[in-house]
Amino acid sequence: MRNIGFIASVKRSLRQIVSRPIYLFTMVALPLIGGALILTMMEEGLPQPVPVGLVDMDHSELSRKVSRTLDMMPTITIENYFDSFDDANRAVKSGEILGFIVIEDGLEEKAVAMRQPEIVYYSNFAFYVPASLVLKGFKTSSTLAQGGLVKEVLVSMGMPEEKVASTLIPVKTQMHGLGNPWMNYAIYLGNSFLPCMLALVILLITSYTITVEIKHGTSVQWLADAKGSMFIAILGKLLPQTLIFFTVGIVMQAAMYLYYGFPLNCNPLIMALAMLLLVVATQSLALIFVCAVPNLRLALSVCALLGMLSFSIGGFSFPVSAMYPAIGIFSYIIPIRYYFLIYVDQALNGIPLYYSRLYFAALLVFPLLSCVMLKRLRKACEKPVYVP
Amino acid sequence: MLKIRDWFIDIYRVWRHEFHNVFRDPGVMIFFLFLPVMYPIIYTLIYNPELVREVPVVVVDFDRSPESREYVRSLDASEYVKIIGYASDKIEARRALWEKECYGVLEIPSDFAKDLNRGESAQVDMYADMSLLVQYKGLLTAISDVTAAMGGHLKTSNAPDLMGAMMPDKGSPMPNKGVAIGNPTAGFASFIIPGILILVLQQSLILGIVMLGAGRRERLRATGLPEPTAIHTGTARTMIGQALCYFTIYSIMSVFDLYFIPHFFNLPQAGNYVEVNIFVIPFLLSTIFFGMIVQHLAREREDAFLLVVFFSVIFLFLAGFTWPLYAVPGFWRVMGWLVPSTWAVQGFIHISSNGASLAEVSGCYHALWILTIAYFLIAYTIPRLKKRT
Repeated sequence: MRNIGFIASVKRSLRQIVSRPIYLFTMVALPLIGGALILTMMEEGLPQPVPVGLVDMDHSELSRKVSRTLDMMPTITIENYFDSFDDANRAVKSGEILGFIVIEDGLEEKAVAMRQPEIVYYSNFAFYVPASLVLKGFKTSSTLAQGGLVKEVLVSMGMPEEKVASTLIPVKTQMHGLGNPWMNYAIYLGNSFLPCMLALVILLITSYTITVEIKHGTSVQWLADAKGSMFIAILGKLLPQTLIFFTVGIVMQAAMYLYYGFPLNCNPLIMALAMLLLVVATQSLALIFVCAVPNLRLALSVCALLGMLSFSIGGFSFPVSAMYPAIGIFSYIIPIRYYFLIYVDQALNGIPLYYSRLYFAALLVFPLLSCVMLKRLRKACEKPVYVP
Repeated sequence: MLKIRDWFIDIYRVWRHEFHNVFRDPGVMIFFLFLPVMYPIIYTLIYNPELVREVPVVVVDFDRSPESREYVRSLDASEYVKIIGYASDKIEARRALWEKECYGVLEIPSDFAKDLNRGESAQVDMYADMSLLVQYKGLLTAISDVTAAMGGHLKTSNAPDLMGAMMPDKGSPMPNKGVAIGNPTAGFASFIIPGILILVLQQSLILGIVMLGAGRRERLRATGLPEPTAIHTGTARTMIGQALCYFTIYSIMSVFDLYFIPHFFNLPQAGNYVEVNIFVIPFLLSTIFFGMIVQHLAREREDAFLLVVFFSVIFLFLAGFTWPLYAVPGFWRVMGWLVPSTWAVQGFIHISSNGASLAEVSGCYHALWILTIAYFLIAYTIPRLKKRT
């Protein structure tokens, strides 16, 4: 076989990876620590029961009934009892509780007299996720309490008991959460944030390991090792990294789908392929930036900026369709977005592969595009200049 | 007496010299000036639409009765749902889901009107895409609103008189109402940006400090000599002088981030602003000394990116505003205690969103002072230990 310098380039890359502990730490330890954080933290699926307060100014049979209904709610737990709105509000400000329900003085009296007393509950939406649970818990329990009240009256007026429910709730809606009926946050955030963490590390390491050669003036030797071919030099440098990143990605998927049993409604090889394409596409994206600005600090700045913003513009929690179009359009230039869409189609919803074809195609565009730009990098490598 | 004066003069000279270091270093300038200005603006622009409205839904109506059409109309009237059309069967509806034309399918069974008119509960099914929980929440809210409203309004054939007698104004006997506090519109930006602002200040500050420290060491390695103009004085004086320089810059940046950004974008600002500024002092100082510890891990200036950027993601989750602290497992909670942003995020959100006073977040405030002292002592000890080895 003709010596094209590929073996030498790979060896050089491996030497670089082990030359300083910071590389392997960043490539392997960081994404796994981050992944372990999210998966263990959200293991329960939902942050419940949420600590809440009860302000009972009525102290009646009815208010005790409301309080008993609150106790049965799985989403909330009564942390403390308060005598006034102000006391409860103070507990919200200090973070002791995330919401409270106020039962006004004279509730029972007014209810019996049909004067429609109102139950008001407060939820601290500065903390969005628990606040939604608080609202749901309070709403369900006060509606139940009201239903009980109406039922008593209707039955006493002679309505057959089995008719009462349908009078109160004429239309029942059954919600079916496709793929994730438990509304589990670990499933929801794990599948997007874990690969996004990996993508952030890929962007940083790829741009760092290439441009540090320019900083130290070793890029001339790097090219020489590859017999002067920029393409071989890049291939030799990035391929060993691809393998490491891909392994980390597979470990993440194994943790989610095998260990935690997250929904995987497709052939596991499809998700593995998506992971491989994500790794290669993200490496290529970093390479594109490096070719555009072959300077260690600038390339890293761009990669760090995009890597951090990916968590938001990826549209994993706030949908791209709700963003301003001028912002949402950036979601199309990050590979993790396409990986996320493949995950939704395949692992979560298990729909035919045909509907995800464009996402796979999009991921293939990144490596092709990066090859076109290699010429610029070559120039920078031949005459390395370091700008601090 | 003279000695104490000299001590302060040394600190002043280090402080002044550090400004030169910062302002002639384009890399550090990006971190100290560009990042704290641009990041919050970009983040706020991403989340500024605040709410998710009009989630597209397709209807499969097997009943085709006036009652079922009324139900669909009332659902369409909700701001969270937009009925984009009817599908003739489940297969067609499923295809609309797969093509991402809609994120929910409403299925109405053929006996919908019959059940209603017999005075029995009619059941409908909503199939929701779960890729984004905000959209699911939108569908859920719309449905529970419509269900509650129908309980009062829909005329059922049995016992209309009974209902009429009991509820003269067709309302319910004991209505209930939910109020969002801390973030009155329950919007996304108002929830996530206050925490992000603190994290941006922390990240950019540490990035800059690490880059400055690594730059000093690179120079030392390359030339074997410290920089010629450096001020030579005791470790404590050097640290305090440098810290005051970063603190000076960041007292301006934090006013921009914690006052002007919420002001421009209409985010919650319920707290007393003077108290916000007092609260921020130990946050900035503890972050600065934390950065001076991380400094020692960096060999190259650009190591700052590898050492600092990723940790912001971890710090975000430890800070307890995306996932509440009471639900964070013990090990991670203790890890979070060691990070200035955890205390600062909790304190700042409670002050600015919930209108807490400094006294009401005194726990966070004191914790930040403890971190300041601890990190100063550690950062002070490290170079001495290094010299000994």
